[in-house]
Amino acid sequence: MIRLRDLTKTFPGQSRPAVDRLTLDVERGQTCVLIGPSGCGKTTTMKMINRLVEPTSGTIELDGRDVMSQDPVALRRGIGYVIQQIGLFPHMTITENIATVPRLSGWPDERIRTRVDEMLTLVGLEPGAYGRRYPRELSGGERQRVGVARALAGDPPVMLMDEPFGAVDPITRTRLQNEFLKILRSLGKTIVFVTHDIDEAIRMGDRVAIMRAGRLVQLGTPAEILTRPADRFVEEFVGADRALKRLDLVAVREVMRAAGAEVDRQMDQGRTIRDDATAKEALARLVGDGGPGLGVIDASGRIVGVVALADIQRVAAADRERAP
Amino acid sequence: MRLVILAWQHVAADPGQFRDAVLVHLELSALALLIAFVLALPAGIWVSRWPTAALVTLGAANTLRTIPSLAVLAFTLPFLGIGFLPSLVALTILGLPPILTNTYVGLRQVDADAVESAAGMGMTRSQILWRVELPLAMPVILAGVRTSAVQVVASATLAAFIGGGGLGDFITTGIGMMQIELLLVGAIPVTLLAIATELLFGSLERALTPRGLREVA
Repeated sequence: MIRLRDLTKTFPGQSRPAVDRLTLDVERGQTCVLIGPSGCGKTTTMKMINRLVEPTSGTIELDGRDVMSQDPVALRRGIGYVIQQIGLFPHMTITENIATVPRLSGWPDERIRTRVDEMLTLVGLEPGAYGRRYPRELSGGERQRVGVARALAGDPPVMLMDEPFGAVDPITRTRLQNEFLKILRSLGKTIVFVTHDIDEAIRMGDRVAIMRAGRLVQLGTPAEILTRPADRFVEEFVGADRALKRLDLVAVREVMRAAGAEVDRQMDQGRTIRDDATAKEALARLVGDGGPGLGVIDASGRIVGVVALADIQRVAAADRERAP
Repeated sequence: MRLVILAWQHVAADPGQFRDAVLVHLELSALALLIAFVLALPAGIWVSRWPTAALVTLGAANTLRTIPSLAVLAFTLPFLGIGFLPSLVALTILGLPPILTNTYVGLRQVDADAVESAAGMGMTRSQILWRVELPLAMPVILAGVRTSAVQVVASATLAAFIGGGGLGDFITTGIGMMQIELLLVGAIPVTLLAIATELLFGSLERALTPRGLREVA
């Protein structure tokens, strides 16, 4: 879907390129997270895709077509764009903000109205209550929802998101991440997501591209990045607790054992955990409660297995074996 | 008080002359303001795009501001002679700097993220200008227009010195003949006119400020 080949950008007056011969593919429907310390070129890379920044050399193909041969205005209308500061238009109502791209594309009024309501509902805002309000009347989290609704309104196949949750408090951030992950996956969007937060990258990405000084250092799935960091830089970047972060990617149902007699005893003491909880949550409970194991229950509350410390340790052991 | 009554009697004695003076004064001011706006707005937009042009133009505009109004009027005299036209030119020049400066400042203050979003969503340069930048800069631009309007209305009084007519005629004649009541026939209406202009453009500013930008009461 998105094909970057030897992409390079040197800003005028700078000797070192901001992005240096970057090659990267993002498959249709996938979320690729660009991550790295500030100044690593991740935002510049993203902005070259919708031509807010013009590459010095290299090519970008979108759906098989070279973006440099396309009219930038038409190109951008087909690419959703969300930035950290959101950039809502303060002089327009929420409805007018969301209607921006459909209006630019000349949709009929009736279709725009329906679309705006649809988008507001999608991001969890009541159309009747929010449509006529102005951005300054909304909280940070609500504005962020509107920003995503606005980017999605033209139904672009591709979304570029630059630290879209950077400006909201941590609790709201986690909630928005989980919510938007579901929404965007269900819509099958191809997403390029920029962040400097490794936890966010692991949570949001199908693939994570770690950048440093304009170069791609490692590209892989979140699990690969955590279990097999390419070098010291990546290792330090993902953090000393990468083994714990890794457990965030594993569901309890993947590590549990079949339920035996011991389950009843755990159940009696109320020590259970949902099967879709993460192994990290299970670990926290096991360490915190001090018990030998937890009963695993499914959505209906039925016992489906049991999980103990040793089961979780097996995840790390398996990773070590796979590592070269 | 006696002087005000005398002044009123003077007006009542020849209402036609007074009315004409007011009309000329308003015509002169309105035209000068209109031309200044038509020139300064595009110029302000243009310089906001070019940092070097901004430096030169705004420097010139600010220097212009320090020249006394009367001097500006006097400067037009050798080139354009006396009468309505040189007065109009001089007042237009006086009206330019506040609008130019405020247009520039207003546009520079526009939220860069809103502009980036607009570009990222596929607005053309002119769409960004008309739909995002100008509406967001509107309160500042209108404040410049208000400053300019008040200045033009007040300075139009000086047009009398180069034969431009208006309410200044009463003042110059009043001074020349040492008739204080005649001086007041010009001075009082000009003062009221300036205050009215301030109020009018103040309310225009509020009315034209997009709702989403108004201060929460």
